[in-house]
Amino acid sequence: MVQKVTSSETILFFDTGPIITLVMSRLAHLLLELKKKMNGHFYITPAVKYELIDRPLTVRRFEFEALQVIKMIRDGVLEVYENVPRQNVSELIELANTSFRLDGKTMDVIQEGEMESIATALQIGAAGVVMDERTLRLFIENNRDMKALLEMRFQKTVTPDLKKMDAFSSKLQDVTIIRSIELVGVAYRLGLLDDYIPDGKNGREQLLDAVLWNTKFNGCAVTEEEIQELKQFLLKR
Amino acid sequence: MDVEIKKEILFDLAKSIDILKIREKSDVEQLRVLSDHAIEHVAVYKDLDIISVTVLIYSIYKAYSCIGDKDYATLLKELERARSSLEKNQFGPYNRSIKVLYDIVRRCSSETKEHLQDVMQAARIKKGTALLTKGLSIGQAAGLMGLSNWDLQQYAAKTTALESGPVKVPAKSRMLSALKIFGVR
Repeated sequence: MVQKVTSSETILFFDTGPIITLVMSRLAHLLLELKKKMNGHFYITPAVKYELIDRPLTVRRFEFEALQVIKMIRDGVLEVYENVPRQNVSELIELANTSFRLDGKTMDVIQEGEMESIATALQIGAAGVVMDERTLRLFIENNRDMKALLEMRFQKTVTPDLKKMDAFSSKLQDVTIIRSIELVGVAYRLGLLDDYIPDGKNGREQLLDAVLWNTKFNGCAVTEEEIQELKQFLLKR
Repeated sequence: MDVEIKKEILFDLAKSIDILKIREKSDVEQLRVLSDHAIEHVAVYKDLDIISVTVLIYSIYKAYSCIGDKDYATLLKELERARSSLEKNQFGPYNRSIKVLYDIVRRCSSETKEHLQDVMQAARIKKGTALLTKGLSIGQAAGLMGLSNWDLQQYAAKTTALESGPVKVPAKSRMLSALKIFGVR
């Protein structure tokens, strides 16, 4: 039985991407302080745990990164939320992956695991989902441009099923999506990165520039223009 | 095997044979172009056979210079054999030929490791990144190529593959949402 959260609890669900971004960016330690500040829960679903831990434990290149995520779970920073609404996930996946046709074939653009976080967040009334992944985000927030994007990339006509596209987007329209770069922005505002401010009058700007680009270069889907916009906004007090 | 997939694999094999028939270094770039062409079919069909051939072609491209003359002759022979078997729907012999072709690349790869990865792993990452540029999600692309999300994200983040598409929600609005969640003014 899936239950809605009580109003006093703030919950964020994490997709795989932002955790990878933060670990690779050497910024994962921020999550502990952010969680304290939020006074709620940071959840991952079993599929996200599999990608973050179980799978890389079998790959030497990312074994230590997996151990870092295990530590985050052991320390209670991340919690695994097991009660995934499987039926909802399947329905959403079916809608997403039959929304576009190319050469007469439906295009599977989203993987089931990626849908778990968002479907569970919606089900229990979480405050948001942290997702660096561009495709699912675009599909939820801007589905008409998704068609144009696919056509541009394949140089072929993509036939959309507008009803399915809209059904998918409307089911998920109430989900707030943020990215790892916004978490870093919150950390900056909270002063959690102040130890890194270099000497000089533009120290804050340099820190912000460095840390935002670091996030991009480790996997957060964000444009250069967005980084500029974030910088301007965060530097204003 | 789906008719369209078979047609595409036969096209890829025939083209590879054509490129490799006479060993000229200048031709090798054509293999990369061919594997780029094949990746579109991977994105649409998500079929293991087509993935296998696409990764193989890119691996041959990367391993080209270290394949010895004897192996090169075997490589050509097995490409011909794979094509002929597939034309006759003889899937057992076809799969055996693909395995021999992979063994040739693997032998070469163990001699010339590229950035501590074998050539085929590098090929899977490269082709996985190409799938991202076609609009597939990281999970989809990594899953198809048999990669972990860590592998693909780490590599793709250094390319333009993760560049966002059109932006509807302004960065400032998203930032404000994040600040609100954390109760920060």
